[in-house]
Amino acid sequence: MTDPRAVLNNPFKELGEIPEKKYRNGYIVESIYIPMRDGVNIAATICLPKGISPIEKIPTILTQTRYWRAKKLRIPFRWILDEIVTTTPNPEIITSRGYAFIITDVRGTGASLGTRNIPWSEEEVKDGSEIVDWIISQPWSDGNVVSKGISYAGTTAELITTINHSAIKAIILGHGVWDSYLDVVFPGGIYDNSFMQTWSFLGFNLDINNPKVFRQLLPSDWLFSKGVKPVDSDGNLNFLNEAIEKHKLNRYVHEHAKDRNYRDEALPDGTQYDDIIMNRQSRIEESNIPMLIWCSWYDSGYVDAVIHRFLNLTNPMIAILGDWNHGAASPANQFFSNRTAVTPSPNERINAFINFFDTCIYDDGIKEKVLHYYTMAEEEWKKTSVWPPKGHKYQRWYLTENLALSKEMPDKDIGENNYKINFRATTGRLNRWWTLLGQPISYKNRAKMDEKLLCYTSLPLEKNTEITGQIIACLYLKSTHEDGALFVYLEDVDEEGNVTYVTDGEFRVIHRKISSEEPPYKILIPYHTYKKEDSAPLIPGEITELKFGLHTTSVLIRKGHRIRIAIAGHDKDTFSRYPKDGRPTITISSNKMHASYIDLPIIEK
Amino acid sequence: MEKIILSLRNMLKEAIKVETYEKNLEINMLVKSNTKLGNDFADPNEIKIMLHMFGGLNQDFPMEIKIDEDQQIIRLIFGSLDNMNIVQKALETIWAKSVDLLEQCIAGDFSGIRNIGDVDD
Repeated sequence: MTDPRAVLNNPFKELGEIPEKKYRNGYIVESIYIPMRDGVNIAATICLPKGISPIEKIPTILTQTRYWRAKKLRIPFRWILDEIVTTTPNPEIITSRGYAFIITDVRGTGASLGTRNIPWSEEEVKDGSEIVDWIISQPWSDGNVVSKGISYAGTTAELITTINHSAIKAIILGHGVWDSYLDVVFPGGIYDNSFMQTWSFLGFNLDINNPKVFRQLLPSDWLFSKGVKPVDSDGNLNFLNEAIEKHKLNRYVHEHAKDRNYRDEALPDGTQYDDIIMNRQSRIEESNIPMLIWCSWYDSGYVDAVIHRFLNLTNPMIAILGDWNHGAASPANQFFSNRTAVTPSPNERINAFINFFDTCIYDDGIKEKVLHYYTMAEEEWKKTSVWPPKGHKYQRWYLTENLALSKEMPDKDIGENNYKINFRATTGRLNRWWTLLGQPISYKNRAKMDEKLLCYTSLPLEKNTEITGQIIACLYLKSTHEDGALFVYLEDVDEEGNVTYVTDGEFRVIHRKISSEEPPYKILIPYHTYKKEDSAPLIPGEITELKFGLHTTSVLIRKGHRIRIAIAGHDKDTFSRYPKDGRPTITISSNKMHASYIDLPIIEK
Repeated sequence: MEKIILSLRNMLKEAIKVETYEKNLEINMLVKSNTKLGNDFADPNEIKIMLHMFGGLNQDFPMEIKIDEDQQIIRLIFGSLDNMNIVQKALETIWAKSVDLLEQCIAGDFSGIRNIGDVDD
């Protein structure tokens, strides 16, 4: 929520007022190893309210990260600040609210021992269970544990529900993946080469404690810290050095995904993409642990992850979708690019989140499911218990041969548009995919870039029109090549011709078969399996139907503005190129027989 | 982080006392911290890196560095008055510069970092 005026139904305010601090003297911090069942030591940093008496018992917030639980600061900063001072969530706030805070390096990362083959392995999840056992055996623990995290740590928080431990009372998952194949690795079956390569590179260098590379990637981190914080007893760094040696055996997603294509290809440990989260759904539900999940319309495929959790999980749930970047460090609303800060601030958010934990530990918790979503350009928070929201109705707009969008179906027997794929087309490096590295989001005015794309634009709208939900594109297309990718952008064109990015969908043509099988989870768009057996090359020159969904959004297109669908065949700074060689020309049909269209999810008022 | 930066300048100024002994060609830095840092206090190479990154000195600037972890005192011993004066001057602004650089960097201005040159961590 970045518009200070948008206070109505603000979900963060609905979580309650910030109460009086329970502890006011700061916190004490220590780093130790917690031994696991197989002898692997997990590095944990523990923060307790300073001045807590020996008989006091408090609940714990647990975060398990793969991005260093604590940092060894450079001097002079180390002389005055502790190793966890920059950690999110803020330990000062957590402890002042009467919680212990424990943050761990998951096995194979940071100062923890062990190795890792894939993210969120079953071994990593089991570690969570043993860490919870350790927590509740501590003299200061009241036996209640909640877990929270953003991105990777958000998923570790979600997966801790699968151990069905009675001590765990609630979790908060910010900006987390659901369907790892589609949400992040292969959106629409297209490999997100830039993110996967950078993320794997970053992970490798974190795991071998090589902060030198962060001078380019994360400059302020490099300036502030010189590596991961060893545990307190590891003065001679023997354990840390041993950990780094072990981590050299780690495997990283890019090395095994870069030359792959399909959802059903095995990961290094023999599991598949679906096993990471989706196939753990029944275990998450059995716990019935209340969840607060939050994300942004502009965050990769993680926006759809929120909708899919809301549609599929039976757990009591508060879901929040706003207009910030990955992790909510900066605003991302493309209609208001001059905003400089996200409201509420991180500290206000964490206080609201602790209110949620308080409710789940000390009161009755939550019983139902509710989704709060922010409609961009209207700048209002809304609340729904069903998705799509009430009033939702698909409105069909046809792509016409004169490059318009029209509600009238073409009535001519012929009509088509050719487009030679421009492989220099890009959304830049501040897009919804790069933000997974914490980058801000800026698509800027798309008018210039649209000159490289095939664009269909409506007449000015006669009334304000809210689009909320998942847009479906149906294109009748032929190509000169067997392989290719399509990127379909939904844009708002104002009276002055400024073009504002709203959302997009991407799709690799070989995955076009619409499956009649039951999808692995409920979806609101055509189901493509992305499996090898269902893939097929295009037959050059033959018209084929491509029907796929765009990423979910909520936006108000104002009266007088126009809707634009811009089509590209590549996004060069982000995705792999399909086909690898050659420059296809595609032809999109706009005639009576093959009337290409988009279905816009309109909310009728 | 932004919140921390607001108070960082004063915190550094208050925590680190610099004393110069011209006769001995020696500068002492006395560090007051909330908890004793023990062997986490500093090592000579880190001092050189700090003086390089935030004070603009070469990492191989000629001086002897002695660390007293218990007292949290760093002794910089020089072979000439000129060298001592150079370091003394750098220390006058080093804490403010370190925070400035951090602040710039958080704001997305990496020019200061580019000017640092190679750092041998």
